[in-house]
Amino acid sequence: MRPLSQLIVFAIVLIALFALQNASALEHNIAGSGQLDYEYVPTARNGNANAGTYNAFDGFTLEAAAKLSVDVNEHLSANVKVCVGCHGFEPDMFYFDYRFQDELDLRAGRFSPSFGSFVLRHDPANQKLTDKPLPYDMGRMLRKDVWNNGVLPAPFPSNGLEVNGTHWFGDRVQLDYAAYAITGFRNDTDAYPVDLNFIESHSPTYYISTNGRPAFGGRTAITVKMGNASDMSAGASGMYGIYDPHDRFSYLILGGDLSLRVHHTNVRMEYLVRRQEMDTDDPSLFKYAVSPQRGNFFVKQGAFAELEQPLVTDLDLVARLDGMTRNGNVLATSPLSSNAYVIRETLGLAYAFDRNFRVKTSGELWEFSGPDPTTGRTTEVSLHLGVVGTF
Amino acid sequence: MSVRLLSLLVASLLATLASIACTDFVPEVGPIRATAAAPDCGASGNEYDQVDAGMCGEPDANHD
Repeated sequence: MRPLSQLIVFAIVLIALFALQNASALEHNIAGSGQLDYEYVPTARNGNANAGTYNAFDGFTLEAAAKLSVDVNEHLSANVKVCVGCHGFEPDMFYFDYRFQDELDLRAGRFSPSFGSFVLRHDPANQKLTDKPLPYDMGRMLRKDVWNNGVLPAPFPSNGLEVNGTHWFGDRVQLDYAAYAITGFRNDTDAYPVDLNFIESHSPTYYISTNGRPAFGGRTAITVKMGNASDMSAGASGMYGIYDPHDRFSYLILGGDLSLRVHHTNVRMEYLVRRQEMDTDDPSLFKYAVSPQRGNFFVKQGAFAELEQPLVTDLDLVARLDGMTRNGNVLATSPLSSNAYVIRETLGLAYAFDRNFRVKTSGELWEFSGPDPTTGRTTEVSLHLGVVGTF
Repeated sequence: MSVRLLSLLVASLLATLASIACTDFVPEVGPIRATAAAPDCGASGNEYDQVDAGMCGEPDANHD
């Protein structure tokens, strides 16, 4: 579906909703957010984000979204969300929830399946920093093309079904679960696929998979309330799928997350690992000789730890340490080695002029395992200045 | 279920996970291919030394 068509469909849904407002018991809510971020990279001032592999962002980036939530009746609800960002207009959500009871909900449509805790707050309005942690990065990291983004770029909407639910043990312990079958990731373009092609996942032409096999996954999390304003949550997630048209190569993503909230202080940690099979039928494509044993896959790991602490009223401090590693063979054309890593340290401030209008600023120090072939640098610095509004 | 049996089950699970992590999640690569390095590296068998010494190809390309 073309971006213009998506916008028209969303507009029709909105108009229909308002037309029905007085004639039925529909409850609805419309929310939206928009973030404008300027990323400046003084160590790569002449870099061009759109020119090639080694590049830097040096301009404005907009991430905006509008969401419509409708409670059709006490069991059935629907959510529609469209967003505009680097990829243009895209439907981030279009799904129905049929809730039999708290422990059993059936979700069908297009949605981001339950994986990790970050996806729940992936919208820029829900974060105090302007960019995502590296394991979930979708195109904002330096050297993004070389790394092919994060371990699991967020959001990751897909078509499918999900069964989820929540159960309380007393009034202090909450157990959440989810299991799903979705279209999943793909790479239909490359003759010898070696990695997921995230561009295809948000291609406006198709939202289908050509291999016909759904990807499967699930998540479980436990939350313990330790007091009126304190809780701790731990979760585990997994996803498995086939990504090529000939059903030959798989990916497996596993994740663990832990978050702690004590009054207004938040500590969050997540770890993700992706095991990605590659087509090694043509060994001449690779930088290293293909090992006969365990030579047909690579492993990409990512993790972050984040501290969010209010300093005074309306002013928050955020400190984050995140990084990724990639182990395994690489294409001969890649500047990466078989053991590559990137580490980033971030310090940021977020000031709320208004409850719905916030300014974010941050500085990032990057350390790469390999040098930039142009500048020879392994260390980079980037600065962010962003504004986010919500309604 | 006794604590002893539960401990045994947990230890067994952890050992299985560790075994999987050490094999199925640790890829192997062969030596860097001659054609992937700079032309003067050739196929001498000394690609590692040459690359490490920064004589050809990408500096420190095979381990970093």
